[in-house]
Amino acid sequence: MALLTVEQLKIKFRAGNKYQQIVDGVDFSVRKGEVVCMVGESGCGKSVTALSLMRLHNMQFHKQKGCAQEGKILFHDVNLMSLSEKDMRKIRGNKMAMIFQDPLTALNPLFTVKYQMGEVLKRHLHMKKKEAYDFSASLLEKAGIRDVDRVMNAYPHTLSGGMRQRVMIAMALSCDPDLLIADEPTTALDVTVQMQILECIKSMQKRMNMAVLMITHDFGVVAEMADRVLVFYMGQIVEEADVFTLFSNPLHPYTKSLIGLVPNHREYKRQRLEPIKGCVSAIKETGEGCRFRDRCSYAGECFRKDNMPPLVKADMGHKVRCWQYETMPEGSESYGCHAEFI
Amino acid sequence: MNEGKWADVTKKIKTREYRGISRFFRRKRTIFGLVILGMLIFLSIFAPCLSGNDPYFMTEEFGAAPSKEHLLGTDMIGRDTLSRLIYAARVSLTVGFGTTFISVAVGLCLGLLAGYFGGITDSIIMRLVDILMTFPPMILVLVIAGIAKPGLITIIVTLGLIGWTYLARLVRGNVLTIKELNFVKAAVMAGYSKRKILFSQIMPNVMAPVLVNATFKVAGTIVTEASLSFLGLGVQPPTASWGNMLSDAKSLTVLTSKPWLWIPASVMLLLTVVAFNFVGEGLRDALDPSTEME
Repeated sequence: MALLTVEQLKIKFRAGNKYQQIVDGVDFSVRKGEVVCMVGESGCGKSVTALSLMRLHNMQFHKQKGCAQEGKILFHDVNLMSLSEKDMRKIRGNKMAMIFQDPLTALNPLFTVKYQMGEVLKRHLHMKKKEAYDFSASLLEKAGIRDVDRVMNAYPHTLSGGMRQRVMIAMALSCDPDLLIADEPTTALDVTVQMQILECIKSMQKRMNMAVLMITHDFGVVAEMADRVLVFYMGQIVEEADVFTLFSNPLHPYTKSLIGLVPNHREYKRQRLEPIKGCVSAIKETGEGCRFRDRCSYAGECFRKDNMPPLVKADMGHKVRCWQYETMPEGSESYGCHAEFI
Repeated sequence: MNEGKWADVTKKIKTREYRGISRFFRRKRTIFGLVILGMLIFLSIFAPCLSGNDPYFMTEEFGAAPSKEHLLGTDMIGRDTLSRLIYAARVSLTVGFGTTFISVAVGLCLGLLAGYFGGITDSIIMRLVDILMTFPPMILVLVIAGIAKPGLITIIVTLGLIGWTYLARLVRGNVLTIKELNFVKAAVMAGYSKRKILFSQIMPNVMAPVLVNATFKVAGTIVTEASLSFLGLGVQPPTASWGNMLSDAKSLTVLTSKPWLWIPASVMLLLTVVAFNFVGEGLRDALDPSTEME
């Protein structure tokens, strides 16, 4: 069953005197042991959505009253939105953990790795010092660090970016979480290390049978990691599909363009990549209709429609938010030109 | 041969970890400052054994020149200058450290709160800082010393309670940058409480500049105390203080014909302040790698 279900999540940030809708009615679910990737361009609400799962927007560093969040976040059938801060703290780091984009600042520069890892274990698992040391050492080993003893006693500045990210992963996984949120875990690392880190996450995910919610810009990462993909555009999910369907039969024009932008190395042809024209417009300027219509290459009838296209089911586990598919009758098998699927 | 190589490598790693300490001792001035400070602290602790003469006992020789009996002579009412000088070191250090302790405690706490919680807390604390900073400190101390009974405790408390403003600003500024860093977010994610995050994650990271500033502050406070005592509003006679010893030099006869009454106290003041500043500088270089020296 679904481990995490998000229903109609809406997040607003205050800008000046007005609130701006950053995440607008997002629904999705993550099953146990499943890797879900969130893709989309910068500022489309991926990170905000992920952080809100931990209820981080209520924290002080997001400026107390500058943020409003509504909707339902069901985790293990408990609505996180209604939990007290104290109960929430028991879930953070314990049942739900997170790793960040920039491993360089994610460890406190003043403490050794063993101290920082030990603190988490003491807090959630009430371990003794010796016990915590042995346990953290075994975690580091699982995360693929060879000279565990040196790393345990090292200060973060003596470790490389990849090492630090491994330490972060080990730390995040120390309490055996059910859900790991990875916010672009490989963006700050170079390509070879990227691969190793992804493999590390993947093997840990398999071993511990946990769910991973991964945010990324990189379709290579998506192909490598994901079971299911959520495509975000301006605070909404525009397409949701399993990874094979998404690559072989993308439905939303935005997804199609994104996938079209990945250079094809296998059949190398000198061809120009077709960029998505225009840029993301400010949310307040979009008006009521489809948010992608200004940049959409298919936009025909859409301009006349003044309301938002609904997220419709196109296939088994394949949902899309586009007027093209709205007109199709419910229940018909598939759409678009995708010979291999018919 | 291989082993030798490895020993070399480990040695390098080790020295790297102690780089801060070696950087602290690299400057000769820092060592000079430390030596002077060590001597001062030694003097103040063992004042009764070292001074020989009672600083409060009035002999019959008023304003006598240095002699075997009184190595630095006697003051205008016949007390031994040397022992008064040594006892005054106690006063200066007490005022310096006491005041700085109060200032750091108040400034650090309020700065942390203002920086971390922001919003209304921040506004209130920072406006309080602004208000306190608009008063010229010297005048404020003069007024308070005039109202309350002048004395050691009054000085320490007054200077302590108006001296925290700069530290609070410094701490707040640092907290504002640090709290946005990922390890603070990671701490939230790890399920730590706000109190724990503030005191065990953020506070250690602001301690370096605070420590450096506190050292400079001790020097500043010693000068302020001396000026107040010189004006007669600080430490009250018969308690010795370098400031009130200098006030003897207000008379022209003393200034011109009895230099043993004011030169030693001035030299002590100068040395103390310079020593604290040198140590502060050394600390800054050791703790803040961005001010790497030539």
